[in-house]
Amino acid sequence: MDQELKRPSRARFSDDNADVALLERVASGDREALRDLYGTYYHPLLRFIYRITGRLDLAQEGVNDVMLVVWRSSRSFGRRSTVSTWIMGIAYRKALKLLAASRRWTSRVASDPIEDLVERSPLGAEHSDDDDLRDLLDEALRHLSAEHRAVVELTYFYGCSYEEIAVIAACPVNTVKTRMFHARAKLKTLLPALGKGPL
Amino acid sequence: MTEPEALGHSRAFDLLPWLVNGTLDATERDAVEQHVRTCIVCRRELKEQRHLKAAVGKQPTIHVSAHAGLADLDRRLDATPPVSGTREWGGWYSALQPFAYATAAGIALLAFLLWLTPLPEIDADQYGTLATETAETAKLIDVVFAQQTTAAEMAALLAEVDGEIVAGPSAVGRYSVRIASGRASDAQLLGIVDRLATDSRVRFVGPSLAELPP
Repeated sequence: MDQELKRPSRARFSDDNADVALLERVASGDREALRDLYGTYYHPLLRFIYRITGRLDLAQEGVNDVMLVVWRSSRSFGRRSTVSTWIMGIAYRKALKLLAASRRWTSRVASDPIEDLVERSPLGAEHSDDDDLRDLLDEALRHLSAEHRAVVELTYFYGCSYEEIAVIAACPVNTVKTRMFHARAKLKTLLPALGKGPL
Repeated sequence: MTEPEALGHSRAFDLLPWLVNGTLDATERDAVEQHVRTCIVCRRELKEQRHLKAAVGKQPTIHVSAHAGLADLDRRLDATPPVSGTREWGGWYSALQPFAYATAAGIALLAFLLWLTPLPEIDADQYGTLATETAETAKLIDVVFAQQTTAAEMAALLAEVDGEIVAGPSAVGRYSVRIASGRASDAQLLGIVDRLATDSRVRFVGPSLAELPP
């Protein structure tokens, strides 16, 4: 097999041993440890919740909601997963709740058909480049369900295995694969440019 | 080196995103890679998934300082009780312990009183469950009349089947009707049910499970 199929290093944003040590301190009421954990997780959580909810204000609120849960529940962390998987699971549930509580964003996006964007975009005329694809992908992802969007994001930005995603989303691994399958199919329809290019 | 186990197309196709992000275990990775070598559909899909991963990775980072958020978290934490060693289960358990003892004592007293109370004699002929078909309930049917059915029509219908209302209407308009003063055979009863079921003035009819009123 060619070199491109060799396993790359995983895109993790934290070290689990360090996280466990911090979480133990948090469990004993150490606010400074919580601040350190906050610093590590703020941007990953902000992005993840933003990708699910589509609203920065909800994402900012969500990050603090998640960290409050971490503060209150740190003693119940049973090391059945990594700390990052545990925290992302809290964030996943929190983001879905925030999204359900505010569907205004969904209706705003739904009023802007992605098919129109595809037709207007240079990609439709087969003049794609990475920037165009990135921008269009941003729009296309918003047309997936929150659950499907989360699987794509967790796989390709956070580098999670399907087992980790199953833990985060609290669903069977086959559900993860099915969600990814449908997300891929929809993105393929919305983004014909994915099949183009030198890779 | 042993050959990896052959993987079906759909399983390999499903796993391609995690081949691309490098998180498959060695066995799965080898099996998917082997399939990809011989499958043009998966090779094309693999290329698309690599594009997708690259595009997701290039999505703009959200440049928002964590300071404001941290200050807000501090304010919320100040309003939250501190984490303590016994706060979770230990604290609750301690708080509930007196109630648990009182409840256990109450149950023990109740059990003792029940033990002292003599049980009433049960006549075997009267003992039954909902599944037990007694001579009386076998001669009862439940009827719900259509909304527009008048009292005169109800009386006429019941006269046709030699029925008399013994209970009802319930909150949902159900009447218990005794057929032939309780002397109808099972076959006759079923015939009457069939007859009433076809009448437009009846919304529902069926053998009754209700017991006769005293």
